[in-house]
Amino acid sequence: MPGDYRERLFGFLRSRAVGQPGGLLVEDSAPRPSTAPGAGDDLAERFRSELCAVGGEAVNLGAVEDPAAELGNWLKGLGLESAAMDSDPAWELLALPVRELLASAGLAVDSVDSSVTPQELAGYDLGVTLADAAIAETGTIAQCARPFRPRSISLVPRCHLVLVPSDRLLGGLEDFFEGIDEGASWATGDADFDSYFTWITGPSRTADIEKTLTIGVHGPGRTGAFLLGEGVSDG
Amino acid sequence: MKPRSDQFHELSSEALDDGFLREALTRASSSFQAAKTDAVDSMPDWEELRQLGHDRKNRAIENLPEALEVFEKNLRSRGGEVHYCEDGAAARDQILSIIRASGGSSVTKSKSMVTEEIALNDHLEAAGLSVLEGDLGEYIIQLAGEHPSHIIAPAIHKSREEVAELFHDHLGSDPDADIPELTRVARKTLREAFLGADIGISGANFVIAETGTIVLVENEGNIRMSTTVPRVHIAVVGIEKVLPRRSDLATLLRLLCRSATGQRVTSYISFISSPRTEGEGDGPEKLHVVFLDAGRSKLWADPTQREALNCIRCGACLNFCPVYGSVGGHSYGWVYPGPIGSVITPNYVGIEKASQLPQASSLCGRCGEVCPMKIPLPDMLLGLRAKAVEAGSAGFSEKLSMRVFSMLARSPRLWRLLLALGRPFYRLAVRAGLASVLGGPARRWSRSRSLPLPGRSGFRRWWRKDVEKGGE
Repeated sequence: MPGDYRERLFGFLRSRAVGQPGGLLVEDSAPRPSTAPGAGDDLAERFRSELCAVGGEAVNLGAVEDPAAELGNWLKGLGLESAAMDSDPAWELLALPVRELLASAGLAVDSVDSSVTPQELAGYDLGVTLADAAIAETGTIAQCARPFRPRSISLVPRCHLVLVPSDRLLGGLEDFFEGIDEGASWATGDADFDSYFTWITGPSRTADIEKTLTIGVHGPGRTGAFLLGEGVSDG
Repeated sequence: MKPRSDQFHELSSEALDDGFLREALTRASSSFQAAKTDAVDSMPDWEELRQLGHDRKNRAIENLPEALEVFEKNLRSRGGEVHYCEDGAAARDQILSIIRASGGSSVTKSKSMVTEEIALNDHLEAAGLSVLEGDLGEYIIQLAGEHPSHIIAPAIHKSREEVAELFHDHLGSDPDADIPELTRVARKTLREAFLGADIGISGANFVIAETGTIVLVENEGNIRMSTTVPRVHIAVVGIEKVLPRRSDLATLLRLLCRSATGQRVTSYISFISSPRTEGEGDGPEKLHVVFLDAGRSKLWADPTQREALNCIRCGACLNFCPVYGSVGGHSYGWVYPGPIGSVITPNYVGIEKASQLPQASSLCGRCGEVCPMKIPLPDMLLGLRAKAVEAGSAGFSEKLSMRVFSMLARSPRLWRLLLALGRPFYRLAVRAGLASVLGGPARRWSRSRSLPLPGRSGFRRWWRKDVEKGGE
């Protein structure tokens, strides 16, 4: 009986307990390493350079003259046919017409919600999402469980396009974990970090044969992250 | 997996004769070493970070029963299930009964040393299930019918040509395929398997007590596949994998990724605290954590060995070990190779079945220096050598020679006399080739090593004559 072993194990461990009561969940914050960016650093530039260094593609749309043309040209360059876009209500808050840009790049765009299966998503070339958070220190995108977005939309299609609202770009790893612990604006509402989230840093990669780097093994071979000059909080 | 760690001498002799393996190990070690060195050099606070990681992990290990209980309570509160298994057999039965209850028949797996430890694949296949490894390296060795030889690069002992031949035989691909083409072939085959799988099995890099979270670190995306698409996810986890708080991950992930591959973070890290929630269309409907003891609680109870449980399986001690770099992972005869393997294998399978492993070290100390968790591996190896002798691993001749050595080393006069008498014989022996002069056990030692010819007069004489009297 599996239940029996639980009792025996805990009995054994307790009989030799070595810790102090209250020594497990100590409320103290760790010092930040000097490499983690903070206030005063150019987070967009750090994010861009970190992501590009690992083979991702990153553009700061906040720093270009014509963001729509920039994104439109990138999309045309992909040469893809179909896109699945999540049904995040925040798309409506953006000035940038992402859906129209996808269509004018020749992509057949379907809005999908969580009722779509991974098997259906496998038929799309491009998955399109909004980042729930992004971490400049490592060039990382965070995507959490949301009712309108399947977990596999950033995994199953061959390419992934993610847009990062400016109010969701964070400095270091500590800023991310503190944000979800303390209920920052980007971590609340229907963003459920307590159920599931994933970090995405560049394309899928492997070096399992002769230590030779190969891109795009199970996940997307191309990951484009576009930093927006606008935020989405409070409408 | 059945331990063969008592055969280190035989297995390592075979490995030393394998030219490709030597080449592959040299290539892998130097590339892993360079990547880690760069990643650490670019982090000025690395030493503080190591100390912090060590301290945070210790909080969980020292409070292990509470840490497990808090984790269990939190995961259960969101619909996950938690099981505890005493040994491999209990874990295999538990996993099979979860699969049977789900009615599923096809399993995709992500790379997990714990499932290697309990030989899960053989058990599930014998029960009529289809099991496919999703990690490219693991998939290669599954097709080859072998076992991983490195914690994070399981197929480093295979050449591109061997993989091409393997894929040609099993999947009908081009026998001369290059590495990108081989990767595409694997992607296509495994993609179908992922999309059709009923059950996904993973390990865990960490589990977080405070939030009931399973943390999985990877680069390929196969773990995300196995934990997103199938309707059941089973995570098989050693009881030592627990960390206190979610925010501890900032430190632990930096230490793990930089030490393992030199990356700042890997391509994907999944943080799973619940089965799919209401309104979500994918993610597993059922989430199970199967905790495995299998020797860990016994090791935990031994204060001299407890810190071995702080290991985060980055592989750095393998990559920097001159012994691992010469003999490779299979020589260690079980799942965990390298210095950390030489420490935990005797603890898990019994010192009498693995008494040679603590000897498979030159005690150069590099493993202890590169370990991101500051595990004192050289001290632990020494302690295990003493335990092995207590358990009767030393034969009559070893004991006798050690007694003689101890007598000589305690008497300076005898020591000098022996050196003076021994030098001519030693020079002769080196000239003639050690193996032809020394018989018996020395042959094994000398077969893969050569010694420089010693000078005519000794070090002591040179020191007195040239250094103490002010000569250069």
